[in-house]
Amino acid sequence: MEPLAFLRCLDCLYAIPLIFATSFVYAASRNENTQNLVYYALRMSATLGFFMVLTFVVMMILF
Amino acid sequence: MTATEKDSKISQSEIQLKDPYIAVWLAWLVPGLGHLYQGRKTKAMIYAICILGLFFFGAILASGKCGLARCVYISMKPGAGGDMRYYYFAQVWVGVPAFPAIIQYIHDPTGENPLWNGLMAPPLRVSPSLRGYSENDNSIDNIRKKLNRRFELGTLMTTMAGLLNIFAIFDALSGPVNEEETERRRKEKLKKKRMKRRAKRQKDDAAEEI
Repeated sequence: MEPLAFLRCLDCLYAIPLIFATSFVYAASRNENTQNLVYYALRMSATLGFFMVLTFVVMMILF
Repeated sequence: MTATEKDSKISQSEIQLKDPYIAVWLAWLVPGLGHLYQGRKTKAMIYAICILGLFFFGAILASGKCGLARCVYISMKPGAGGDMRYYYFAQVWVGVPAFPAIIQYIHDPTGENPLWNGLMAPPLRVSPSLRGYSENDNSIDNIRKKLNRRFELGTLMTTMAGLLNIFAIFDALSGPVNEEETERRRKEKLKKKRMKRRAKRQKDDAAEEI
């Protein structure tokens, strides 16, 4: 992979605050108990992250 | 039953929502403030950190020599040389942090004399033939050129922050979504549907036999 292309891949790190903010806010709108909320949010972040990585890999292979 | 299990069984009616309408207004003005008013401090902290953090991070990303938070602005000029900024309808849900854009628009919608070092000011309106002519003016073309992809990232983050605050507003209005109750109702509905179908089939069979 070219260095410039690698640097562009690092842009994906901007997704981290988005994923965590979305997960925690969504989890907070569904749970009142803090422990459940954190567990729900972490599980959701992992799911979102997994699907984003999967989509990214598929797109890298295709294009 | 442990304390955690007990807490998790808190029903919606047991949550002190105080005056939900005041809470809604407060939740819209500042994310988390409505929950603080209701005494739900942990949730208030989560909403404030996540929503305001995301909004300000996006705003900082879209800041530079061309001004501050240039991805949050009002521009209602369709057609050539204009810019219709629909994103602001989502960004405004974040409340007070997005208000400078309204003040800037009222002060000068053309963007020629922005206040506060161009904080959330609309881009300079230039005629289509002059677009991007001078590198120093703050037209939308130049702002995009200077900020590059940070403009789009800032737009995405501030828009998402506004949309996420809608969740917080509904939470302040009526408490968290009771998933168990929703699931129970869904199953009941499904059961009724199945029974109806079975009764219809039996009726058809009886009619055939006759």
